[in-house]
Amino acid sequence: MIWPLLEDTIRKGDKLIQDGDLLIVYESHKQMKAVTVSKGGEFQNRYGLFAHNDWIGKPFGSKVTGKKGGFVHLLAPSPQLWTLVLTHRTQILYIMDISFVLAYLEVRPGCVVMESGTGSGSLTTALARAAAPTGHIYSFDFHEQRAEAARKDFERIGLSNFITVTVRDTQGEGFPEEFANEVDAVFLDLPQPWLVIPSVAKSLRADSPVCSFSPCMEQVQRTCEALTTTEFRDLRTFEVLVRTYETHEEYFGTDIGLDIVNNEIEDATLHTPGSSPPHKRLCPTEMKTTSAEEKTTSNKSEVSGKDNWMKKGPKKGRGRGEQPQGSKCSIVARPEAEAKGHTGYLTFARRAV
Amino acid sequence: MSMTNKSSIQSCAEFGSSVLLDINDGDRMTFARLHSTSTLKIGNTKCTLEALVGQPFGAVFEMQSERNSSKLVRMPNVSDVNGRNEKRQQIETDQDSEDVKDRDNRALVDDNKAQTLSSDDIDRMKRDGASGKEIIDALVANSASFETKTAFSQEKYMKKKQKKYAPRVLLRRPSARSICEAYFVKDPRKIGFCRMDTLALMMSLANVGPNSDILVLESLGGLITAAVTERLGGHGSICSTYYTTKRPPIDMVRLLNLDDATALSVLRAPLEKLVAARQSALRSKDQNGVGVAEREALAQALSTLEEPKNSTIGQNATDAVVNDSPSMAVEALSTETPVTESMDVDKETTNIISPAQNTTDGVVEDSQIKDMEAPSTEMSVKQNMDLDQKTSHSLPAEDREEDACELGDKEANPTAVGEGKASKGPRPGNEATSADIFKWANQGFSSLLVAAPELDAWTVVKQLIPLLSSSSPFVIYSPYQQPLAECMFQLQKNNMAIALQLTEPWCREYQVLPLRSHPHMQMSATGGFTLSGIRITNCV
Ligand SMILES: C[S@@+](CC[C@H](N)C(=O)[O-])C[C@H]1O[C@@H](n2cnc3c(N)ncnc32)[C@H](O)[C@@H]1O
Repeated sequence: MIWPLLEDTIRKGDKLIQDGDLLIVYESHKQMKAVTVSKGGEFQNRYGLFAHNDWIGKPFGSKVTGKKGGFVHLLAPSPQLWTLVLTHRTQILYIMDISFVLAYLEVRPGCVVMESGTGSGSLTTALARAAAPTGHIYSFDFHEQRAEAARKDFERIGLSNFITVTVRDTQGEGFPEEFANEVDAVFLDLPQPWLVIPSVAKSLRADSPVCSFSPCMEQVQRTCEALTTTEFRDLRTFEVLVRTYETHEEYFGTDIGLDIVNNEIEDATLHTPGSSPPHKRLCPTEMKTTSAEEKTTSNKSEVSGKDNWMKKGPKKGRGRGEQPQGSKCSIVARPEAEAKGHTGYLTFARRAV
Repeated sequence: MSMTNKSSIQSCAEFGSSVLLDINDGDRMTFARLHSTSTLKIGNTKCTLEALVGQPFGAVFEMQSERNSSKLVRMPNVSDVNGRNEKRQQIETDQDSEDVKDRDNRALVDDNKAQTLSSDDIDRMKRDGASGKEIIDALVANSASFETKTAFSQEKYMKKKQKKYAPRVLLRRPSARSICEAYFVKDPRKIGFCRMDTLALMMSLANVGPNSDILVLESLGGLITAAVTERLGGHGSICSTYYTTKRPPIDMVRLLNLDDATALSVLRAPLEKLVAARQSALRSKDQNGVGVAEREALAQALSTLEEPKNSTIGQNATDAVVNDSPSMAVEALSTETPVTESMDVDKETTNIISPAQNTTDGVVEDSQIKDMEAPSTEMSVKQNMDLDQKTSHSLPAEDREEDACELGDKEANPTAVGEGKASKGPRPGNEATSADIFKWANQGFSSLLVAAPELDAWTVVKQLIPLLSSSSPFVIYSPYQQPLAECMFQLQKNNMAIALQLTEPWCREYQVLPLRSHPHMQMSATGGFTLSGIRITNCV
């Protein structure tokens, strides 16, 4: 079905989109949508109408144009993309927490992993991908509709063979007895995870890890108490976040209205292009003059060194207007203004041997 | 629910296993390989690691010295002795600080004047063969001020004395995460200052998972390759490529205890070859279109090439020699093909490969891309032989030295000495066969990970992205932000990728104790940066 990488071990060139495939329609990082391709189907967004028939047979990763002229890209689904497009029925885990959990729980092909609650299945998807094709995820949620909706999602993304969703009040009843000593890792995202710890201890193989995700320190506190009074050791609690950067060209003014030039201080020179460390090549270069004739013709032209920049002048016509007189150009990175300040605490422990 | 899944995770340390030794609750982390001659030195005391063979990972040992000989003795139950459970003991002592039974014979003094036992006394006890525990007990018994101490400081003192007189060793199974964490503390330069959360994020960003073909270009000693290998678990292939004549070491992969299939999934190939083969494959597609029939033909060709996996096989199955005797096989191979310098071969390959004529291009290419030969060496042989006996997997000669260095033993821990190598099973990192290269060239890699801080990110990415199949993700690691920003800018301008994201992970650890929870006082200020994106088709 949909997850190309779980399917055919030998692909023949780029994977082509077929009727019935799930794909991610990518407009921008903030605008993505999961679409199941069907013959005769249509997709509508602000760029107008797209006919699925035009998509079929194209490779994943293709750019397609809508009736109104705008375009989107058609991407093969991955757990990372799925997390960004899935229907939120609960709070979900995002890529940074998910990554850390997978790494710390050492989820790999063949692992049996237990999880509660299923929620929107964001983490479950990543766990399943990591444990496939020989492992399995047993996910428990006491909310019937959510469990059902999650099952449908897993079916849709082609991971249902690796996930069993069971309706169960794990805080009240713990995990099922038949899991005793059979589980390689447990993940908890529950309001009162400490209630489940004794059952987690029974389920885990010796030396196997558990992780509990909780937004509040009070929850962490109680969970740690439960872990330390049960058969756990190696307690560690982390918080992980990401900061993302946007990059662009920026012109920095060099003319501050002074006629007198300070010749005393010479600019420290970078190494000449031949001997320069490669990543310094694009370092800011002062542009003394700009003139229309000097416009670079191609956006694709590669900037390969200081000399090049000096000769050709600054790159222009990139939608940012002319380079102002008396300025120098640099590529800058600035943290995006909005960021998650907190998601939750991740507490890990291993069952004592 | 049936629990038929057999977990593939090794639960006990075996003879020849790679292990991570956590000494005194994380005070020191050390990698070692278990051989009869491996030893561990803590302070001035040295003992063999023999006692660890056959023991479960997670087991705790105490180094006990008696009459000039020391040994590691397994502790009965971990929950009381593990230091990270200090928290637990603290919780209890906090709660029951008035509870006398919690004190009695465990209390100790940290005041010299209150201690009637002199260091001479202790030395004499040692000479007489007293165990660490006996010494600690004596210290307790001879202490005057102990009873006046709070439970908390009693505990702290005990811990201190215990670390000194009866150090604890926790036997851990190495994982990519623990390797990363250990190196980050001990020798971060070696792993390019890549922190474990960054490494973890990279695996997600690059969609690393089973049944994929993953291209890695790294100079972090094998850390990235190790992490990828762990995630693939033998399902799929890893190509750890290199651009230098001498293959940069990926020895960290060998700190993992890989089963044969997984070890064999880790391959190496020079970048030039990969690029040349890919260019050729793409040209062939351009000329012939990407018709279904064409694809089927390719698939057919591929599957014939694929079959020989996991056994030594000649041109046809009857020629197959099961490669139980590696050195013999190598001799046979070496005599058939002249020794060639690897770079020469590469150059030649690049030049020779001309625009493809037809579907047989792959086959032509196959004979042109020849692996170089090397003098026979047991370690360099893999059981996974290709279709063509002329193509050997032997390492270039200069590799043997590089590979001979036991990174875990010699570098991560100068005191744990592993003698010889684990000779059982295949080693990860054999040269890719022409069939492998052909396959990668035709279908493209499904992920790309670059962690080569010494290279200009854009220069590398520009060349490597075309090796990916369309819609495949890539991630570039650097301890520096600027080169990634420039690379991102270029990728954007050249419309080579979408979903570009320059990310800086942040990770903070917490102490969690009743009424005393707070972030650790020390934290790592940076774990590096990642630039990620998804390759798109260029047929615009
Ligand atoms: C925050 S969501 C989990 C989100 C999930 N980790 C994800 O990434 O999509 C918490 C889930 O726990 C479930 N839950 C709460 N209490 C439970 C209980 N006692 N037994 C089982 N599930 C429970 C809720 O129904 C909810 O779906």
